[in-house]
Amino acid sequence: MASLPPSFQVADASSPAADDITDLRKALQMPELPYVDITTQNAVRDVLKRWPLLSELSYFAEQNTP
Amino acid sequence: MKSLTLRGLRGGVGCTTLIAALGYALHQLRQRVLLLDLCPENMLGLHLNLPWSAAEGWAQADKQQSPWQEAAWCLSQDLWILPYGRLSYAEQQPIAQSLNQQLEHWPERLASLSSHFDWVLIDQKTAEPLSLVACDLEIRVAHADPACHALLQSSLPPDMPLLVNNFDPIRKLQRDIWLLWQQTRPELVPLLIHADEAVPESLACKAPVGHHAPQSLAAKNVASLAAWCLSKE
Repeated sequence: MASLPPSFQVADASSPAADDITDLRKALQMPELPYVDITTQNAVRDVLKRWPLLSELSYFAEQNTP
Repeated sequence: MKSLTLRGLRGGVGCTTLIAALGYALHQLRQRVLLLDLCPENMLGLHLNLPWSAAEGWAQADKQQSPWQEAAWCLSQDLWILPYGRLSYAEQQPIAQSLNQQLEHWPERLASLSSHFDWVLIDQKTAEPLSLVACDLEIRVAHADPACHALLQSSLPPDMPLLVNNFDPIRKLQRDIWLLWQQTRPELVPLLIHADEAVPESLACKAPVGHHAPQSLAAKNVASLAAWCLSKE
């Protein structure tokens, strides 16, 4: 069975040594980074551009959301 | 016993057909099911091989003051239907009035059956603003079309699950509306009933879609819906 030589092995992602993103967030004092589904957001924006009725009703819904 | 009704956002979205299909699917999952038709059009029985000419039903029994239970048909062990029956237009008016006036009428009757069934599925007229018989599980049914999208903007009970029926993924507008509802409507039921020729063909053969075309996409969708209903405690 083939296996990677030790120098190529990737550290376990859950180990503290590998969590660059958390270290960077702490260093820059950034808040939690929520997942942003950009593809879906863009798709919804395209839908509203495509169909005037949907766009108008979306505006109405936003105006009336408490 | 749990009661369930499908409330169309507008007419013609397929509530009666779905009730017949869902009743059959729940029965396939070993549930004891009663289908109750509260609509004078008396269409529910056509999906379950009842004769069109059969006048018997609970409304006829009420008119003749005979026991309403005896109007039920046994389709299979633990699958029953209680049709409205065939009345003339003039005969329907007193029944409709009494239904509205005696809202406790049907819950009492259903309570008397609760030890015999796990589910009662009720077909009610879409035009009524409130369900004539309030149910444990009320599902709003819509098509992914602009009319339904506009109707959803009116103030409706917010907690009612929303089910999309007759979905055609080839149509761009339907795909767009489905995407929009997924993002904006938390009450959306996370499954679709696809548009499928098997559905009208099943009615043309007087059978629920799960019986006539069990391998069809619509039948599989309805089976998923039945499982989803069972998961709602």
